[in-house]
Amino acid sequence: MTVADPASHRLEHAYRRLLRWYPAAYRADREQEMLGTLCEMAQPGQIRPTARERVSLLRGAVRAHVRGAGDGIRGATAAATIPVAALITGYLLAVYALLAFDGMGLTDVVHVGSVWGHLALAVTTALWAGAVVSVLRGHAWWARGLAAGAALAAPFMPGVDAGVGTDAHKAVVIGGLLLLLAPAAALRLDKRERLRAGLVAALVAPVSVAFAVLTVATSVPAHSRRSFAMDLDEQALPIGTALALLVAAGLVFQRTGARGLLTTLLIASATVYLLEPIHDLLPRGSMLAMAVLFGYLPAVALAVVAFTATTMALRHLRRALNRPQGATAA
Amino acid sequence: MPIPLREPTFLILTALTTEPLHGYGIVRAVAELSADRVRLQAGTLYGALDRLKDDGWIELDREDVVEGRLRRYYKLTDTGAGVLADETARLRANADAATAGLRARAARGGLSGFGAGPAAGLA
Repeated sequence: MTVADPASHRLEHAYRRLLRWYPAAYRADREQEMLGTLCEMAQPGQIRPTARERVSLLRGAVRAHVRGAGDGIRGATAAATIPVAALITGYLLAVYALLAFDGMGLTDVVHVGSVWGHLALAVTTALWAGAVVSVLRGHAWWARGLAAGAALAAPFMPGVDAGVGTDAHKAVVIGGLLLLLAPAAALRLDKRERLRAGLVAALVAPVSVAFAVLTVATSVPAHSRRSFAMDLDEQALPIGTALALLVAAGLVFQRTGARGLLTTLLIASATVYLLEPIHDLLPRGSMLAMAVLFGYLPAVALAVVAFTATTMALRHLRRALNRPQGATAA
Repeated sequence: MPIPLREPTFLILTALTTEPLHGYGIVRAVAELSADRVRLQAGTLYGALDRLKDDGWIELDREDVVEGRLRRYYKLTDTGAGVLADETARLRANADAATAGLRARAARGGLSGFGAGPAAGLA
């Protein structure tokens, strides 16, 4: 069968149409090769793909899409780990800064009532700080262990009435999970990445404190410590975090490039957990946006984390099971 | 790739033990090895090749263009050969156990008539 023959030409066209089901990136690499194989496999005189060929290609295409999505999500997770970790570091720093300014009577944002609250905050922070130091010193496994500890301790931190939103708890848990899941290579930072992560971490506290002090200072009646009608000063932490988040998002985009959509999803989910308290500030009529942002994204984010966790665990398991005995003995 | 290997995977690895092959070459070799029982379809073949390549069991050997068509030849890596050797040893142990059992059964005067079957040549 030659290429010029009209029957084979028609067949090739049909194969090409079937191959369009595959992801574009996959096709760019494999289309010509697969087309060659398909044409070689064809029976003489065959003018259209058989049912078995169609089913096989369709299944292959679905598998290629699933694998591509998995790689994309894993890549974005790896890229988001350090910026999100830096964000949480900044958040915890800001909580302590606001506590200190509270002590001086300048703001009324964060106040931890019970000894247990102080203890939980201290334990979470200490574990998290340990994880940060481990990352900086290149001890990936220590970082993972300590981050897991911080994630476990975070739910016991002071509640919403203390000014530290429950979303902060979730954020620490998410950050801990990210550190736990990220491949070791994502935790090795070069000098530039360290600087940028440091910038994100250093951004939250000053912005939050400045906002908190300013809202109280400019409130009516003057210096009443109950600023405006909506307790604006209590939004200080989210606002500081939002700014740092923008920087963090920029960093993640820089690292992932083309996987924009998945990256956006991860960043958006981190945003949702951190910024839920701010929704009072959204203009009326943005109910739909709120419903999407606060209703669905957390679920999607959880699904993404669950998917990543499952596929990574499966991958590790497969690697562990498949390691040839000869190789381990050598 | 899960272990035990599925038959198409096992046959693909086996086909690549002798020489590097391209897509259609693998399909033909697998059909030959299985006496025409396993006929790989293109979707299945490339799905398997992707996974084998990701796991480092096979790798690209060379590329050729024949009649305007791209041909990529794949070869078995040392890791892949190790996996195939382990799997072969496992299958052989199973086959030996089954053979011994059937032989004992035949010696007891069982009905199976072991020795008349195709395995007679192996015994």
